[in-house]
Amino acid sequence: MDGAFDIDEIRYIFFNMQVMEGQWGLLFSGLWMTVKIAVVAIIASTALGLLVSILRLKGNAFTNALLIGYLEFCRATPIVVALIVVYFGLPFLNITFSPFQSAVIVIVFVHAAYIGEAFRSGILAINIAQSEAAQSLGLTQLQTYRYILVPQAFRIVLPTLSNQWTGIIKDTSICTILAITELLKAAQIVAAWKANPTPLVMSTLLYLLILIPLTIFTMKLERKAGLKK
Amino acid sequence: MCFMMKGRIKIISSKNYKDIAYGGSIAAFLALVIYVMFFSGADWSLFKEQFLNFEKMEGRYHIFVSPLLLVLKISFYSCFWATAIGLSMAIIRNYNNMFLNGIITAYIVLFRSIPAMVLVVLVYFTLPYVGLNLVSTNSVIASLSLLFSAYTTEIFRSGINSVDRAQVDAAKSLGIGSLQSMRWVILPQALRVIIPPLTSVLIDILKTTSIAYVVGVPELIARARQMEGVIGSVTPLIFVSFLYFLIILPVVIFSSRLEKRSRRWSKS
Repeated sequence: MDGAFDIDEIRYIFFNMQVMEGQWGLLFSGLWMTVKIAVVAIIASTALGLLVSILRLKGNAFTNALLIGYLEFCRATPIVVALIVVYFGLPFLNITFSPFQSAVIVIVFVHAAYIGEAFRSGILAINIAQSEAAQSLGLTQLQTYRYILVPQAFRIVLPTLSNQWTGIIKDTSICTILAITELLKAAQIVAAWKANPTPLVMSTLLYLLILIPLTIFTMKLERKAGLKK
Repeated sequence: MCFMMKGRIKIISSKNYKDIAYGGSIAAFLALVIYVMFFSGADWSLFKEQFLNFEKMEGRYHIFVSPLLLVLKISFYSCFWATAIGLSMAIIRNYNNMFLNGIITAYIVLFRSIPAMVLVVLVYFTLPYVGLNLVSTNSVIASLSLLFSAYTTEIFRSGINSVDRAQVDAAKSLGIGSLQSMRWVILPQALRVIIPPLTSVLIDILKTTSIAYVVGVPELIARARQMEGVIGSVTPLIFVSFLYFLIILPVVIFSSRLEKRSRRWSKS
């Protein structure tokens, strides 16, 4: 480093709005792609996670073994590896997914395992007397889940769930390794073209704009859940 | 009458239900396997040739030794720094200084929010502009330590909070200084609460090292993709994912066992 930090120089390097002129379009289209992946993945993985948790609770030894294997597999596989295998590996078998599809498939597959585990512990935390009461009122199994257990479980696991959702939004940035122009990739393209890191800084700020409120929300929920105990 | 009917229905239905569910789940799984094997359009003669072609890999396994060590090295250093930063920040927070607490909370919120990929790219590609040239490995270690220290701070804090307040007071009345009481009274008791979540941070660090691939660290995935080009088969990639699995799975099993045990402790 030569010389002291100069505030104008820092602004010129990291917050150079001249570089960004006319580039916001690409950055925002990247943001739109990130949001699309995140929304689809969040909805699908929550639904799949709920299904997995109910299967775990109602299942037999065989399905339980399968689902435990699935959970441990997801815990031990980095998303980068899974993405590369799905996107670059599967075409060798003539199974081709678009980058968007493979991103969603991998993120949903991995996060559904975690969300399923969270829901399972949430449903288990509900007093067993409740489902017995529901049964004695003549509710079917499905109705018990639909009206009694799942709504309460949602409230219990909301801190974990919002943590997972934040994780899903963060993991969309890993999809830059595919040929998909989401926020980080868009920023990298502009940064490489303009030879200035301002777009990277701007994209980070955009990520933080979405993620910081979510993190604060999650932390508040966690604190509340902690106090209840 | 009512009870009898209910009992009868329950017995019959629960038995039938279990049989049907058991048979049904196995049948559904087999159907899925058969569908994937024969009807999904996948060419399975290719599978062995492309995915499990270990003949082509022969004599190339030694190439994976140094990247494997590199992955372990990155994880070790990130884990060390994340733990060190987290512990010291948790101790600082324990003094309840408003100003320092505000800074630490902001730090936690910031690094819990920023995606790992974004931070790694940011550290590696923007710091050189201010004349700070980090080696790619070090930039990954730096970003992982920053990221995960946010989590470890909270883990250590909740561990320290879990120790009864009376213990601290007792230590104080014995004339033990605050740092010493942290070292000899609080931390040994807090470890029981701290260690299970700390192992899950270790798992996350091990998994996140794979991001180093984007900044050109010669780690496992980068080597596998190079070799994939050379031998024209995805086998190295499969081998590497198996290696990752092999590193992480023992930690996963260890961690879930610890969690189960700590749950039993907290219940009793």
